[in-house]
Amino acid sequence: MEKRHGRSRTILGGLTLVSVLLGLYWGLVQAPPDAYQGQLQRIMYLHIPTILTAYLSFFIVFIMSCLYLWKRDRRDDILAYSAAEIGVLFTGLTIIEGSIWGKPTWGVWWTWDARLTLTAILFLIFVGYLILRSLIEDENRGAICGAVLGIIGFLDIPLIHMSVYWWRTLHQPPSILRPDKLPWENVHPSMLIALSINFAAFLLLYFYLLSLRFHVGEMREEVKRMKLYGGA
Amino acid sequence: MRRRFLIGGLIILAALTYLIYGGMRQAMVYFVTPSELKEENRSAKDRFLRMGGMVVEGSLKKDLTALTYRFEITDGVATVPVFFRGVPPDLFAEGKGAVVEGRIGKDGVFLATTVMAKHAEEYSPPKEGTAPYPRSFIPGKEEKGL
Repeated sequence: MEKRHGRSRTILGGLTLVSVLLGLYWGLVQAPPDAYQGQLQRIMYLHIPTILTAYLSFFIVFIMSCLYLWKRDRRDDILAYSAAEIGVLFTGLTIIEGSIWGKPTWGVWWTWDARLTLTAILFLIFVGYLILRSLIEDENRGAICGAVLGIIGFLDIPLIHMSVYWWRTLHQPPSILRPDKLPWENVHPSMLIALSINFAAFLLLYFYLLSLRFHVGEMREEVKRMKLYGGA
Repeated sequence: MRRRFLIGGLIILAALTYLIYGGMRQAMVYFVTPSELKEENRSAKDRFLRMGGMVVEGSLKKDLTALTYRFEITDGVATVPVFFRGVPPDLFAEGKGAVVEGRIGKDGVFLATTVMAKHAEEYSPPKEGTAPYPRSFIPGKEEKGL
């Protein structure tokens, strides 16, 4: 069983590598520079896919946490925990990429506008989640506390998304995730191709990492069971 | 027991959401507009402020040896003159959005310590035959006059 999973994971890893390389090529070479931001705009090809992947990751935390509270299936909790860890990674990366983009365009690495502040809060909530999980030794209690925090933490994402509409911010409104305009009305098709390839690459990378991390979680569980009951 | 827990949780959640939403709506005024600044002019003196709006076309005067910039920021109704010494970001330009941080001086001029440029959520390649905007990024081809 695991052998088959291991093999499909290797294939997923290979696909990830190919698509990341393709994304880099398209983003750095094929796509034109922006009329207004020049070469700097290429950071978008990382920035948007990274944050969308982080959103997806915390959405998985949200769903799996709800499922765990309802059905108390250990596997749901392992998946929630795994997604939270990778979500923290991608949120951290988003903030770093945003800073690098912000300094030359906005003029500052960081500013306390609503969107940036709420994104920092999202990062801190889920860093808190990871600390909480590692501090509580009782597995079931840890899982329940984690699930509750994971559900509450996810609710920050709609706030982040709406922040640029509700408050005055330095950050611009969304280019892609919006109901009133189609993506190619904001992003020129030649750039949208690069963005899509990179988004696909990030999704593949995400599910590759998630399946690896989930596998680690399952093995950890197995080791614990062996220690408790002995035997293979 | 479970149901009580659920109802309690929902109430806490609703209260939290209300507090965050309501509280932030008022507290998180990231920048004031020139009109708002003119209204509360007296109380705004000597207080750290952020002001945002559009850089008025034709108002920008640079002194590149002293590194000083004078320009006006407008929200379409009121206009506030700004003085800045330093290096503004590459995207800072007339007719574009900007946010400045600093204080209002006695003469009503906004003394900015930081100038930030806003940009739109739209991206497209430059038109045929024109260089992409921040020309200073092409080594040796810095914008003439800068």
